[in-house]
Amino acid sequence: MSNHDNDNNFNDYLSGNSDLSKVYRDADNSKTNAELPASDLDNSILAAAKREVNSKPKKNSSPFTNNYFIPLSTAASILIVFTMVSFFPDEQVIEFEPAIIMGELDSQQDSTPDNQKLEDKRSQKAKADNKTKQNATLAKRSKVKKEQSNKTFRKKINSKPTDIKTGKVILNESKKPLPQFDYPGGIIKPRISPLEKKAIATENITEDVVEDEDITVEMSLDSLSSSSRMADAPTQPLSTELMNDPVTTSSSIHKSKVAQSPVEELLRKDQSEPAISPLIDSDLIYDEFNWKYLPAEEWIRRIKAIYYKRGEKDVHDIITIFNDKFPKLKITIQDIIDNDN
Amino acid sequence: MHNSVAAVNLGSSMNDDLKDQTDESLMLRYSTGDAAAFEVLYSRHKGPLFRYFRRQCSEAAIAEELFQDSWMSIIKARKKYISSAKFTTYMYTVAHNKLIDYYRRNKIRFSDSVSNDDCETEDIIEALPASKQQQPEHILAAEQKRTRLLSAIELLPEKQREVFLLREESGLSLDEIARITNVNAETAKSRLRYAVNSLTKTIQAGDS
Repeated sequence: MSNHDNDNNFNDYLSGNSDLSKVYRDADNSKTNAELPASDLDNSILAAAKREVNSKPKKNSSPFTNNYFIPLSTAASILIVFTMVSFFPDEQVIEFEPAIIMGELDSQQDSTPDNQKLEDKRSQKAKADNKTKQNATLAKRSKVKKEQSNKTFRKKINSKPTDIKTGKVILNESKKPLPQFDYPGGIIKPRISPLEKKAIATENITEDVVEDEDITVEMSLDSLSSSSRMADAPTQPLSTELMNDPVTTSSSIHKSKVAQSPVEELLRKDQSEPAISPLIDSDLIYDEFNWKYLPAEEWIRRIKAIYYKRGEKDVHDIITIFNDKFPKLKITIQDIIDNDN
Repeated sequence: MHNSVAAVNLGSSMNDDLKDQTDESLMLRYSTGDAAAFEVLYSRHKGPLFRYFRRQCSEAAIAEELFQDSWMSIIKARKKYISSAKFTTYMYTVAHNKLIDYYRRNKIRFSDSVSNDDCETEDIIEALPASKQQQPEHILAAEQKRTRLLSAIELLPEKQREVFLLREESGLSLDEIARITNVNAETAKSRLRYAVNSLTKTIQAGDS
């Protein structure tokens, strides 16, 4: 067969007029049953096709979950975060640093007299020896800087708002501390003694109960001291004494009891409890700058020590200053002597 | 017998509307969940596709396995089907890939040499048992032709056979055949030419 014949055969085949296609189709038609897939195969394929279609609603049976899973989980996460933030604000974690600074300030204040002495000695030596005039000037400058830094820090602390009832300095006004947590680092106690706190609390109570505002703590203290002196009896709690007095009304008992208890407790506490730190000679010299920040109980402790060491004359002026500083807690020398006895 | 009954039952259950629709629209309907559309589609193409496999595989079981695998692939990939091409092109591409995988698994050489294919065909034709001289004259009829042709097709090189079957069974154009077999149109045409010439020789040899 030549190439020409082959091309003709192929062209006839492509046009659909060749014997080859006819014979092939006849072969297909004659063997129809044999050339078809088995019925089992048909059924299995059609069943698979139906199963695939029927499984569609199962796959898409949870379109809500499929479509809203990410948005819902995101919203839930945000809700949890907001809940956590609202219930646990972070202010308490932040406030540790001022407490530490405050402690440092205390140590600086406590050591200030010593530093001053050292500086004085150094400067004296320097002047006496005439060796290092520059060192002396530097020491003076450093001293001034320290004092300035202390003053500025005290101003900062004093400028902070203070809760009068609790006696706590609120370091962060915008965020209120939680009531169920007591954070020592978060809230710094100002220089308000327990005695002052009680006095403030007493003032609040007596305002509610006492109608006559002229009755003051001072009067109660005077009555206590005078009554105890007149009876020549050992010091008793004022409350007991007033309770035995038939003239005293119940309201006056309440007033006096509440009004006298802070000082009484302070004096008793001073007797019963040992001093936190032993007093040294420098503590027994009145220094307006250093004593300015002392609590009332420390004042009384030092006044007592001065009284027993140097006598009544030196104490008199200090008691006057104390009474000016703590007008609600006015005391006399006799109060100190009586409580000591 | 079973096959004919199944075909009748299948045909009776088909919707007339579906019968008028094209392959592509039927496949799209099936992709949206219409199982009846798939039944129509299957009934249209099950014979040609099965013969495509049956005449390229030595064993019927293998042909059935490949046939089933091809339809399962079409079923599973129904959502990915895009009607940009003819469904037959898509279906025979799947079938071609299944066949290639089968050849690779069984390490069957898939010859690509046209000249070798031609030589092999010549040898096969020489080896064919039926010839006019060897058969009684009254038996030489159409059945002998058919038998020879099918035997000759079975002995064609794989690539030529595939191209011929794609042409005969599905009526695909050369471009579509080239796309399915992943060759250019000229190569597909050349393969088809060699196949047609070989098979024509076989038929003519029987007649003479």
